[in-house]
Amino acid sequence: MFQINPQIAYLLGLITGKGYIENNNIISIEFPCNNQFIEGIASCPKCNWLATKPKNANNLKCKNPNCLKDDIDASKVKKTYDQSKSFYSSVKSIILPFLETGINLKGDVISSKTCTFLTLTIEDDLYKFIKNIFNPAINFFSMKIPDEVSSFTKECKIEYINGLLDTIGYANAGGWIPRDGKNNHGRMRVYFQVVKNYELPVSIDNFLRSEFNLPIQTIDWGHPNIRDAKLEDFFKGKSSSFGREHQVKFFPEYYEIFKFRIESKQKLFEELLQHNKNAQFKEREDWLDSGIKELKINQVKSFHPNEDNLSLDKRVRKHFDAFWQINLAMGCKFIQSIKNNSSIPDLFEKTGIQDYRENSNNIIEEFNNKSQILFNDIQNKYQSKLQSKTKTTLRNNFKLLDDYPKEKDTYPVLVEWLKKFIKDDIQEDSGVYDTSLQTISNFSSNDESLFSRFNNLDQLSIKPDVVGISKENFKTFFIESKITILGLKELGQLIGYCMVANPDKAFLISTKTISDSLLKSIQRNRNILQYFNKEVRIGTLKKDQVEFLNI
Amino acid sequence: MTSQKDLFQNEINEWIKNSLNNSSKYKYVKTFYGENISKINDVQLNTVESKNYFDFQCDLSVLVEDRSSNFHIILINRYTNAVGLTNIGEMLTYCRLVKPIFAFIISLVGHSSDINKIVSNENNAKNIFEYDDHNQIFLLRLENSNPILDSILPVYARNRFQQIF
Repeated sequence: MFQINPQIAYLLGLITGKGYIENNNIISIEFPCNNQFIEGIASCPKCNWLATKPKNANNLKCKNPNCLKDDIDASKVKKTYDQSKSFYSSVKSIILPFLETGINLKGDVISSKTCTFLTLTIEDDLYKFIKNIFNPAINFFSMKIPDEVSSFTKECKIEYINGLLDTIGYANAGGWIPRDGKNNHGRMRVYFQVVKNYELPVSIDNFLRSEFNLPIQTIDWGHPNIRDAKLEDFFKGKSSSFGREHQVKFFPEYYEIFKFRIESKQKLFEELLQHNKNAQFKEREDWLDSGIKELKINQVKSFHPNEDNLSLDKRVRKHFDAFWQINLAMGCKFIQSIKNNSSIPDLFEKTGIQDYRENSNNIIEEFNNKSQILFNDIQNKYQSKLQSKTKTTLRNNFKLLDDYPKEKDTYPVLVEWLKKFIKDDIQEDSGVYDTSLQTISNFSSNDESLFSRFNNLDQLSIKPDVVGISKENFKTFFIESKITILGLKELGQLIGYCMVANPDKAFLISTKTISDSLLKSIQRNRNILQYFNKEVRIGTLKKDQVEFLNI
Repeated sequence: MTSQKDLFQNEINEWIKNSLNNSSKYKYVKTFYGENISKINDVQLNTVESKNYFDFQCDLSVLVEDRSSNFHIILINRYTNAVGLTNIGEMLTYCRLVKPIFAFIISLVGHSSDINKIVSNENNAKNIFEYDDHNQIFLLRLENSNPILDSILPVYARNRFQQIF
């Protein structure tokens, strides 16, 4: 086997979590952070116990029954971490230099507020080894922990998990469960968050158990039966009803041998760790330690119309009543062993019953019927709710939608901004116009002297939102404005205009940010921004200013 | 009830399937409808060059196999109304990124009259339809699962289209 060092092990962990094995010896890793800021634990300033916000209250209240202070200002007792900054600086100044100490590579980092993207060009031997070890998977959507990792040294196994933590590990002060410790309330949890991939959660659980004897508190599967058991999302028409992320949750006090290299994650991890250690919880709380308990009929979940959705892994396109049943379906060796030792394996799989039962088929049928009955009840409830919805409430809903800013609201702001930009950029006055409602060729009659710069004017049946032309050298500027997250589709729209009109500068500007997929695509092939040896620039409109993305 | 778009999508799939089955170069394997195929775990799909780059959704992504048993993707976007420059720009951006062996924009109506002057100029047409050194996006109208030859754009690439399809 390839000589594994801690840096390679760490890289393998990063790839398993959020990696892409590209062509030409390139590996890329994304470090997503959905929120720019994340808050730490709210602690009572008087006794240091956990403080939480009661319903309908403005301030926090201490959970200590001997204190109960109830006027705690959340902004004064919580630490705030800037994840966007920390992700970028940690990848650039900590992770990349660490990798370079053990791997010959060339690394590039780009980032937006929601994602930092690391691209590595590595040597042929290592690339082939990585491709082989994960084969047939080529990206994190279908990777699991390779069997080879079990034969790594302990140091390398730890680095492998560190890589997983930096990509998909999250410390979150909101993830506590109500438990009483000796000195505090609320037990903090950290979790691995896995998107779409059904292989990885069980792979992580079984690896940590086998290699480190570490407990996992639970696995929260994104399966419709688990995450939308009451069908609330489904009947509200939310697409998330058939595919949320999975979370493998654990208590930080057992995981001190590992570390995050992303600084904001590490600091928050240490905060949660310290809270739990000070609180002193007695129980280990491993889902497997407590055994598989027999499911009662009142624990059966409703049938969900998306439980056989094609976007789910084939092995879980069926009904489940408990999370451990999904673990079993996805190959958990520990539950498989319990199943093998049970008297009637089919009965165990459906109900968790391990001993012999005379009427096993009847029990299974009863479970199946119950889930259908529950579905019928929920469906009837939602249908009667829908009928009672009046036109007024529907109208009110639309009114709410109207409150969002419209794209056309951005045009006057961008007209003014572009005038100033042209003046600053080339020191010329300019004519800048909102051309969103008519084509450039039709609009040209408004100012023929300026628009005559376009030599193919009769062909310009295009409508960029804002067009500017400088008054001395007739330089042209296009803006395509959006109020949505910018993706390849939005870029393509402007590229179409640019390939016909060839403006001197073109801007794609949104009130929202750039999508991670567009960011990754630019990193992979910058050519997509180009037209006639020029590049579209991407920016965010904030009040009346445009912040360009540095890519 | 099946929508007009779904029916049209099925019609397009029938056409591409039949065309490929009559071709000596490529064999039809399967179609992914409206999916981000970079996120799909499929043994054959995983071998497509730059598979991870397909991080977007086309209406149809068709997996085909060549005579050397290599797998490739054909991208198709379908429209029930007239196709404009923004639709072409969108496909051009996908094609520059992933360089598919073929790319189609197929409409029930054809292209919008707004872009007549643009597409009738060969230089302009090359700028908006060409990617990866002389490969072209084909824009066409499909009727009863048959391409209308006069609708195929760019005009200068009609012979190439007929030779292949």
